[in-house]
Amino acid sequence: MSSLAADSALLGARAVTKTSRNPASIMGAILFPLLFFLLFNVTMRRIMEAQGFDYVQLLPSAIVVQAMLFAAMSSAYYVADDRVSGVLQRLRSMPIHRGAPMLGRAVGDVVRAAVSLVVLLVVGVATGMRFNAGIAWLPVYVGVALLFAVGAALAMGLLGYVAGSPDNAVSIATIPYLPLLMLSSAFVPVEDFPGWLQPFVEWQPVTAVIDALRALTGDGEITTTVSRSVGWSIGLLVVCGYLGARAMRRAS
Amino acid sequence: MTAVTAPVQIIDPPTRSSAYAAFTSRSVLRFVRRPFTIVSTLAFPILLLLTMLAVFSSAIEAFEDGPYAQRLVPGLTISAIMFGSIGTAIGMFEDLRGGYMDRVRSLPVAPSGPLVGTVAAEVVRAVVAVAVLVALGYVFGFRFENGVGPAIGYVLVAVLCAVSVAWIGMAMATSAETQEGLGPPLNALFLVLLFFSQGLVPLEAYPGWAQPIVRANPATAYVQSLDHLARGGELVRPIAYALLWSAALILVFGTLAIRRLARASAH
Repeated sequence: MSSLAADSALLGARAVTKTSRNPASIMGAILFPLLFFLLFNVTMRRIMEAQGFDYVQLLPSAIVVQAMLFAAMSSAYYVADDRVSGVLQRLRSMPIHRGAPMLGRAVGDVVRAAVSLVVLLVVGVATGMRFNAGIAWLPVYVGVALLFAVGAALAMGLLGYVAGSPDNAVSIATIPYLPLLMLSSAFVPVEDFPGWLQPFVEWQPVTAVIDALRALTGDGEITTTVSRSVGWSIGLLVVCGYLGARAMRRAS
Repeated sequence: MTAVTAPVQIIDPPTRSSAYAAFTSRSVLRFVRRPFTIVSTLAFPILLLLTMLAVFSSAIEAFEDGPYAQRLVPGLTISAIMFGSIGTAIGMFEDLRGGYMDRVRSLPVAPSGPLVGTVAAEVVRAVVAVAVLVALGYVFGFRFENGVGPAIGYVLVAVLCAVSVAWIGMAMATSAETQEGLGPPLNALFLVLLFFSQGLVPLEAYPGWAQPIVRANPATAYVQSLDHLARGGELVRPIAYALLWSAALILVFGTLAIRRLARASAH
């Protein structure tokens, strides 16, 4: 008999093992977020502080969301890898729950995202970020970030079904990744963007998540920002989860 | 009855130059057919230019004079050249692992053919990157303020950077165990070189401890040469540094790559 929980746990463990044995994934999960944290501090901090933008407090949450997007992009890589190598097809022929491959993948993505999150929070707090709204909000902060990681991973994972190879999947994933991250409240306030772009910047999901994380550390109003962010993440989860399940059936 | 003698056709081995031309066109075709190179040389720099301008123009223009595009176009040109060379390195790795290099060695062509073709294709890639970024930059206020001569110099410095930087990835490709051991380390290296290059923000924006690193960074030499050729400013020092860095990169990584390739063929 197949059980969704047991089968997903098993496939989740497989996903975590695969990630932890791939040096590229470890670099992507730990080194690259740290590198971006350092590089943005070096290049932009003086310029943004001259504008009254508190980089020490606000940058870590931006890099957290960037790291969640990295986790999502690596999901596209592994989905394509499993499709091209025939693992998806093989799983299909086994007596396991039909939802397990996708849920297992999501478990792997969450674990990877959580590793990045812990590293960035430690470095962020060490360099001066504070939970000014109260440390009690920390679990909510973690939840908002990881929920977005799963939603984004399901969305980017869709590219894994259409790309010719795992590497191509990552190349293609940079095209939605870059504008979504850059054209958000991550690095400058919304008012810094040209007027015609501001509505996009203000309403797109990455801004919603970053604003929620910043509110949870004491910069902004919590209820509306968190509910908007959670709304986006659940929306991505439902829509892309459905599309992913369909794509998986077709691929195998 | 007369005996029919089949004419014996002797095919001359290709001349050196026609072999080089063939290897070059193979490398160029590979760019076109490999999404990685198209993305890293064209799509990514264009997206990066548009997004960086949208995000940082107002903050940077409050910090220094002139349109942000004037600083960003040289920076992103060097960025496209550096990050695009990762695709070249991966192609070389596949050639070595897939037996292509062994096959070439069994043919009556110059053994230097694949390397010459790869480097010549880098020239093509650099010229395309310059053309696209300059054309788009003109829309946002980038200008060649010094006339035609320095504009030609601009293209030449970009080409110089491309043919030197490519050897880093090519040398790493000859020793990498897996493709994952090649892409991410090069990516990290080029990210650091780009961010410390003055290609994104002026020197005064860096904290005091970082400024000597920025000055010593090889990417700064190329970025500053391009910047001064376009905008005006001191030329001798940055171009001399760029030439010196190129000589050093080619000497060190070129020797490493060629030596390892020769050793691989001895087996």
